[in-house]
Amino acid sequence: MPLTKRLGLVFLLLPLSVSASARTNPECLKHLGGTSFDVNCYGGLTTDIKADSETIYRKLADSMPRGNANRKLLDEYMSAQAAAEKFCVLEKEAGTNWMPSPSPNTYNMWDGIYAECVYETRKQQNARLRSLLKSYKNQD
Amino acid sequence: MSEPLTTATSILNPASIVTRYSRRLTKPWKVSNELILFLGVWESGILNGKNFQRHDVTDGLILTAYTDDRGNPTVGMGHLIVPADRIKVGQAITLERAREFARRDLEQASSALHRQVGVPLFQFEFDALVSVAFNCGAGNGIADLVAQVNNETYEKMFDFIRYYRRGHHRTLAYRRYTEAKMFAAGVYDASH
Repeated sequence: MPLTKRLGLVFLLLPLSVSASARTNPECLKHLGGTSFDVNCYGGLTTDIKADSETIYRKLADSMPRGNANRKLLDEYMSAQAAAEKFCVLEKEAGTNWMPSPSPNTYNMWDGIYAECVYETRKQQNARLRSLLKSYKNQD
Repeated sequence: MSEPLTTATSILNPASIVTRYSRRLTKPWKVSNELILFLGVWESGILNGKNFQRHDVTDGLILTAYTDDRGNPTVGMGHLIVPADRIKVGQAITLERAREFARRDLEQASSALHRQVGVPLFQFEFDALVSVAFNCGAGNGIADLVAQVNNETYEKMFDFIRYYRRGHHRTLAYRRYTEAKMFAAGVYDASH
């Protein structure tokens, strides 16, 4: 079935974890295999998931009493996840003899692999934040 | 005029000139419009209509310049716009100009194959190799591919391309399958 014909169905089935303001259709994950396509699919979903994580982070931070040590821990966790993106270069350059992109003026599969790694890193972060928020709310 | 596949001079037996014929084509090869359609579908997700980012796609190409998720101005088949292109985000270009950008972006892959491949190829075989080289990035990424095709074991290329540099990335498996089909049977079908 063409991608466009599935749009209506996809919007109904969007997982609750995706922000209402998400711009990129997660259906793109079923059509990977291009070069710029993969970069834009993973990149767009990463942008959406980072925005969602930021919203959850705010909720968690606001729930912590002023001066609580966990607030500092949470901030450190967010910084560590942002810093973790750079390690995705390892995935990208492992396949190119540890050298920069073999075609710097266009995207290639290694750019897609980098974008996938960043997306997976941010997805994991989002799941953990969501779990923390759920744990906190279950106390009420 | 076609270039010879190879030129050799024998000093052992000057009379031993062998003329070899092939239905396959010799250099220079050119990227076909069918390959641009094929790659356009892989890059845009569809042949015609709106893609997952709601960009209008015509024959696999996005004709209105946009900013991609890394902030790069882009148009056509994922062509990264440079100042010399004189295209602003939001500006529409013709289908032919988008195809020209695609041909230009494929040039690195095409040139690498011209330098390294020493056996004749059908148009669809060359196109399949360009697709793989464009995806992997020409250079070390195609060394094994070139070595295999230079063996002239054309019948083994289907299986070779299917598993070529896709690693554990299952998303590349179907692309390689479509490229293998192109090489083996001349099928340009990127629908997925």
